[in-house]
Amino acid sequence: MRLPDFWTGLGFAAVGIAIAVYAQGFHVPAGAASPRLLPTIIGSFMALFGGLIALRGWREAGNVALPGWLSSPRQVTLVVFLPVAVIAYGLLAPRLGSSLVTMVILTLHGILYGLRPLYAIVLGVCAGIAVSFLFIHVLGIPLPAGWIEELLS
Amino acid sequence: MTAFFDGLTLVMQADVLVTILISAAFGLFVGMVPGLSATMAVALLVPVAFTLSPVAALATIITCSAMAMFAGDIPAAFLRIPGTPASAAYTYDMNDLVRSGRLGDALGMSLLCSATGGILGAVILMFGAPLLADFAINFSSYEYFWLALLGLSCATLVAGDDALKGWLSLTIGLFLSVIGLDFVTGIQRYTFGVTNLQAGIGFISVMIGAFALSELFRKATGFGEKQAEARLGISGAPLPRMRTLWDQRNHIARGGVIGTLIGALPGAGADIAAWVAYAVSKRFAKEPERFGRGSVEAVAGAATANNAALSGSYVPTLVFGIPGDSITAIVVGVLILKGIQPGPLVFVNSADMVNAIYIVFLLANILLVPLGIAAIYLGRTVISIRDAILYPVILLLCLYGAYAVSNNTFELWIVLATGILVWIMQENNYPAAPLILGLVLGQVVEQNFMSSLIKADGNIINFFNRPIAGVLGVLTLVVWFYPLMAGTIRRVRGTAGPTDQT
Repeated sequence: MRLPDFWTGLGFAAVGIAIAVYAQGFHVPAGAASPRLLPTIIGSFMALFGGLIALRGWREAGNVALPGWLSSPRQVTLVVFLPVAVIAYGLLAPRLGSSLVTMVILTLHGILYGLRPLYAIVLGVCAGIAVSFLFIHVLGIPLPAGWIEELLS
Repeated sequence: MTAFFDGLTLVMQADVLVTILISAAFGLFVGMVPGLSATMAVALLVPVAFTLSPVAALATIITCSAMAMFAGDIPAAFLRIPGTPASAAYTYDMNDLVRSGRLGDALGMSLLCSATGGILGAVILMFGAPLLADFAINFSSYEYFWLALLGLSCATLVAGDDALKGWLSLTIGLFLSVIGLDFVTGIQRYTFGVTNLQAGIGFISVMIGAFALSELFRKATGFGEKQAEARLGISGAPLPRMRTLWDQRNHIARGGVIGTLIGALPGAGADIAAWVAYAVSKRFAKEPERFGRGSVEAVAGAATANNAALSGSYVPTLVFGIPGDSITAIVVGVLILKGIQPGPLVFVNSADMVNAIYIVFLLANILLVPLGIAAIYLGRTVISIRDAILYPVILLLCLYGAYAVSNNTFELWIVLATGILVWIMQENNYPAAPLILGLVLGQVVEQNFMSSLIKADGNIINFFNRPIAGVLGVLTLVVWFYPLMAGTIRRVRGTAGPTDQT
């Protein structure tokens, strides 16, 4: 997602200004140590650096070229799959259990990368169960449990 | 001596030894895969390390990073692609040596030099760090504030070729460090009413997002690009002849010292150490013309330096609590999470722990030799693992690793947000390492700044009143403003020059 420096710099400068302005709303108790001091400095420097980057790149502001991967449906699907997988695990694992959700995620991810469906299922089931077992029973991490975890316990 | 034996007892526990073996195998595996760095290996291991005892957790990180550093040489030798950035300096030399059937002079030499460099660095760490700690024991919040600020200035060193973008990345990390409850007043900052943000942004989640998930995004956009084939076979003995090794003794010794010293500089890690040692080895080489075309001298000097730098980076980490690179930034985080505050007092309060770190360094580098030989033989199989198997498993480790941080799905959202942010940043040439430096050092800077400000009752002059604080303060200001001053002077001279000529 290559953007001209002008736009990324401008974006960060805007975020920096927002950080500094928002910090002015923090309550300041009596004394020398103000909770708004460091955020204000950080926001100001972010705005300054962002502004300098934007200034440096203003000549190329119009050179917006779409990245090559956007023209490939497979690559777009692979990119979109990652946030979808993280969100799906976060929302579904507490209801269905970690192993089941990650098995599906692994299988689909393998297929998207070009693995044959049968091999992808084998990868999903084996890696899903093995890594879940490792985290839950060897490392003692209470991953969200479902019926598969109950079977394994 | 008692502390040394206490440290030895801590290390010689079954759980620690098993952890060392497993993390060694994991480090070798990740290091061998081109594109996966030692930092990524450590980032993926941190959630696991968090569940272990402090010694086992540190042993995991030390062993994994040492192994990954050497393993990065394996794809460099077979594929001409460095497995980790620290192997980049001598990739062509390694590949040309393997092509001419001299496996032992390439990977064997690199293996023995890496182990020697790691041990040399550990010995310097053992003797140098306590001396420095004795000096630093009287440091107050003023000195620590300046040291942390000096550490932040190293963002330019880890920034790559665009310092301005490095500074901006640093401010993002600093901003992340102020999210949550203010440690002096308890006021909520940038939490927007989200309870999970009150404790701040966890650095483990940020690490996983910045170094693992962002890499998956990058791989996804590069899917289908032509990949190098493992064309070279394994021929010849895996280790060099003793005579060849002895001939390289000066390069090894020089690489070890250079690596340790560069590693000890905050911000300058194994990558820079390898390049500097490569250049210095060429300067003193018998056959400098062979550098870049299969030089054993190049491999000996640079491979020693990158592993020695790993040990060296623990000097500022342990003595001042200032991380030397992104791996030691993780170490500082793990130490604090485990209730151990790095700094000069750690040598008094946790002497057994410090000695355990030395012993783990020695043990990991000794173990590197047999495991490294096995890795050389397994190397070709591992580097040909298909993306379709590797990346789904890494995604799974990201998901479980993020959840394991606090047994809460909220960490997943931090991983996702950081992963997307860092991916976009890297696509636009904004480096990620300063962001991590800012996140880790941000709290140190603010806590010491606020403590000092309260002590000084708002009088800034007190920040320079103590002799060491004064020197550090001036040094920090020079480091921060030197590029600006130098640029202005250059510009003035540039405009003055043509005028003189006319």
